[in-house]
Amino acid sequence: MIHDASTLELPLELEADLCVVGSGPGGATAAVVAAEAGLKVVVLETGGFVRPSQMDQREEQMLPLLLVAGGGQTTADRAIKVIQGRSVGGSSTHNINLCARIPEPIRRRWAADRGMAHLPPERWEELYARIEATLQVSEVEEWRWTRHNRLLLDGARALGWRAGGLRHNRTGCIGSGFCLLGCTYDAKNNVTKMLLPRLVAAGGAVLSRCQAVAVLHTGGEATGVEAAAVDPATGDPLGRVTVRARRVCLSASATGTPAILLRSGVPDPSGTTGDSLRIHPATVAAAEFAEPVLGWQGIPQTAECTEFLDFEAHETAEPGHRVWLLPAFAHPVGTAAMIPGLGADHRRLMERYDRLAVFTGMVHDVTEGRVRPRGDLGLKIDYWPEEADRRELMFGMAACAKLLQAAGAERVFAPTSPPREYGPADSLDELEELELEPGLTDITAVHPMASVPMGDDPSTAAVGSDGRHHHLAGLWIADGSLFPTSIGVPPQISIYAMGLHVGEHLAGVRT
Amino acid sequence: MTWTRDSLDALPRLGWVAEPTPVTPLPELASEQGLDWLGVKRDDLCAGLAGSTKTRKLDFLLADPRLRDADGWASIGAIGSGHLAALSLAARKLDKRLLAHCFWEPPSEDVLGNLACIASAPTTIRYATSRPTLVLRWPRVMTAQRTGGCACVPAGATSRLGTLGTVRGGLELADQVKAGEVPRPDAVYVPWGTGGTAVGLSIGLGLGGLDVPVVAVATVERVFATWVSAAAVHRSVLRELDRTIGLPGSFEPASLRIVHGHVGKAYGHPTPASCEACDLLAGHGLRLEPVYGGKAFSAMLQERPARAVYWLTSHRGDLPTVDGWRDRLPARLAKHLARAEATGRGPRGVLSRRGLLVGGAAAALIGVARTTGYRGSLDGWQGRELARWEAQVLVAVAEAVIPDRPGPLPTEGPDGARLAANVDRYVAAMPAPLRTEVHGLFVLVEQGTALGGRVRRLTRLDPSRRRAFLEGLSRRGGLLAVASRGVRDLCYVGWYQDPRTWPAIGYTGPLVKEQAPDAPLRETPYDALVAAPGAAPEGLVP
Repeated sequence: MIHDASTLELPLELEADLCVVGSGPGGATAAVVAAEAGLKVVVLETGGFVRPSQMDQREEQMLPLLLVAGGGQTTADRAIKVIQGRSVGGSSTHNINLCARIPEPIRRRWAADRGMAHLPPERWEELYARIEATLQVSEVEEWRWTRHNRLLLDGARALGWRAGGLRHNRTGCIGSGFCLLGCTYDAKNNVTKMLLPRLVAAGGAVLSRCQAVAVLHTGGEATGVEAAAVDPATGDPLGRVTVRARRVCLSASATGTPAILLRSGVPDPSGTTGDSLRIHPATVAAAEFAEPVLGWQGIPQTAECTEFLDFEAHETAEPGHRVWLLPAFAHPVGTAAMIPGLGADHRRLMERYDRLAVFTGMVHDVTEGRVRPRGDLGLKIDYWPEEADRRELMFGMAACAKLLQAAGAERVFAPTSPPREYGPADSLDELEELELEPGLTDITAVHPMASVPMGDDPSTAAVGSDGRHHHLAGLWIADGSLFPTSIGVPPQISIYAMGLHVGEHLAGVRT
Repeated sequence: MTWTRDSLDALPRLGWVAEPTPVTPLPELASEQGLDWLGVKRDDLCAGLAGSTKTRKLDFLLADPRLRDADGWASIGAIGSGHLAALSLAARKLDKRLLAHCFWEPPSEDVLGNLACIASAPTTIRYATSRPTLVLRWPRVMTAQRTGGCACVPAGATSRLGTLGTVRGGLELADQVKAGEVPRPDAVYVPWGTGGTAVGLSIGLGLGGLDVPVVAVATVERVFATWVSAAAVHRSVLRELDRTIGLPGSFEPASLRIVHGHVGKAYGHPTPASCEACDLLAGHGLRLEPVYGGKAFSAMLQERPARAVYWLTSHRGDLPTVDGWRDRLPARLAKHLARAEATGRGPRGVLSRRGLLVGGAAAALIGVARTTGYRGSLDGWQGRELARWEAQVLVAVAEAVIPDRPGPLPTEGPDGARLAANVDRYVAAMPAPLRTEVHGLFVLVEQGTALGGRVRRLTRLDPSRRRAFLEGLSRRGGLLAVASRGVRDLCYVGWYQDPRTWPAIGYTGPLVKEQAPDAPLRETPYDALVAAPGAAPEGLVP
């Protein structure tokens, strides 16, 4: 059952076979595997359980319920917005259901560099096949593509760039366009829909509004998790929750997991915990079209442009090999925050809201950021893209602008400081040459990963390729933290796959 | 004309304190110490909670609808604060929750007793190692009406309403003297923490026609016990009395004298003299704690008035606690307590006394600069998270960034108050560290005009200059640009979430109706997955 810890008598102490921290794709999958294998499982989740019937499609209501800091989480220097989920189901509750496998060249490189004895190519294929079946992953039929998405394809076609469709995990979708605010139609094949009923049926318990503070351990063995029940309105701690368990699985995201490990004093002779964070930073460009685009309606992202994604050539210094281009529309508040300018400049653009298109360029990053705990419940993210990634980000903004221009935009806008505006025939080359500076250009990241990179050598990795911590018995990791590098594609199904993979190892289903 | 307690009892209060507390004469101790007469006013026997003068203050203060109707209260004090202990007892009694902002003080038996009581109530404790740190981290608890979803209770319950309780105490003593139950003293001695008790007594004695000086012995640093602060409380209480039941035209409170020099090492630290005073009174069957009462009592013994009343302000002791109260403390506080109990050393990083004084004075100045002179707009503001001055900053920024030309907000959207309320709801749902940053953002934007050499703060600039200032911040890059962008974005959050702005941008809006916060949810299959509130999962360790 799902229990709201903020309503329970505190302090609270529980015993279980396995305590999973985090109920997102990784944690929920691992928890289901373990519970169905007969383990008594308790899952801790900082956020609340938001039922589809509560999702009322209003930004001001839903963002505080579904996102960390209501969507206001940033890097320590406030230069990059880092969006993460915070509710039962984690990011699967608010994401746009994109499903893409980690490109084979990346997996091959990981095997060469990190061992990965437990994740040979056939294991990856098996994991993806099973997860895609569970989530009912499929192509989105072309008749459902919105004008916003078709504009991206039109631009790519005009420029001769590679583009195509994306696969999703959704069934029963009516195309309301409110995916980012949770699906009130329950069309997302996500943790809530596909895994929670199985977890509860297998006897698993979820403690919502319960934030893990630290892994308890003694004599080189994990003994449980110390957590705090938190106030639903403020997130302030209400009282202590202790789960005694000889197996602990951290799936608290690529920011939460390393923060808990470091706060707990879990040994890591490799010194890698929290030091190699990737986030897929992204810039945007917007444009105004003569005809209505109505970008907020329909499935938000069904088309992608992969012209500048070359996973074989990732070491190339020249920009233009690590940017993934796709539509990125938002509802009014999000759009208003994205659009540059003040007063009349801003209002004139907002008055064209129904005619706006926004594309984003997401970078398959090489910069290694850092996560550190801050106090008992907070964390700090240090990340500013290094030179190669900064060039790639500006290249991405320019590429978005070129796609929009080629798709027939009347005016293209670059959210730089000061904002730049271009006509249909203006050159956009100067954008690539602009220097990215903190605070002067909006950067957003929605895919934190790679902060506790797995590897089979304990001297260079804290966690093995089976998710088992090398230096603390009984401790496992099952989320995007495990990826040794950026993956360049949306991480959702790969995190589900990690949950399945690690869940089977920790439950003894697979050795 | 003199007053009686009945005059005050007509004002809203909870009615916890009814009968006068007795004055216990201590002839032997008076004789030992060279006094003609000494009596102790026994507020430790106050009814209502577990005794203490705080009961008198809370009796009036908590009847204020702002606090009476709140789900919870937030306040500030040392970890062993008698005020917070009394407030926690009141919270239990009235079924409220308490958000206690506590700063470190050395743990003594009394401190631990109060802390155990605070932690045993439905309390969330926020902890800082020192007063300046606490005030800098959570300034709202000192300056705002609400924080963290709770209504703020002033430190020490010292406010115009709370002080009415001690005014009533002064009237009570005046009645006892007039009735011949107590000889007319030469002075009434009382400790000074936040000043409300001393000021209230001086007014009460004056209203009761007993012109006996009140001697307030400062137990806090000099910067926190000044004539300025006494006069401010005096004025506000007299205004309240005049407004509600009318004051005699020639009214003069009894004189009030603040005595310094008894704080010792710092606030919260006992002194040898205060410990000796506690031992002396213990020998006569009375319980005194050393950081407030002990210091005041020892000061009285040093001054040796011929006839004195000592006002015993602390509680009776043995406050209610629950087993495992230490488990409810923030981990950092528990760690510091364990270390202090093992080694006698407090947390590192506590400011020196000098640092405390300088920091306190600076914080006070900043506080005055931030929170004064904001009258005139958004009257009746009831923000959950934003103070009125912050809402005014927001409206000032909105007028600079939303209209085509800086000036009044366009009519097709929310007015300033509605816009600020929208943002307030958004900010209130943020986690604590982010809320703290948002408050810092308002300070920066409002006071940051000094960066451009402007004397006036943002809200006192005309809208065009406000926009120029924000554009200037943007151009500076780094944190200043982020601050400018941040406050701009907050304005747009408040503006574009309002459905009245949607027709102008062609937005068709959500497809489902907005749900009232307390509306019953539509039934779904997921209901069967959810345990009833309060139902613990299996595996509970007894």
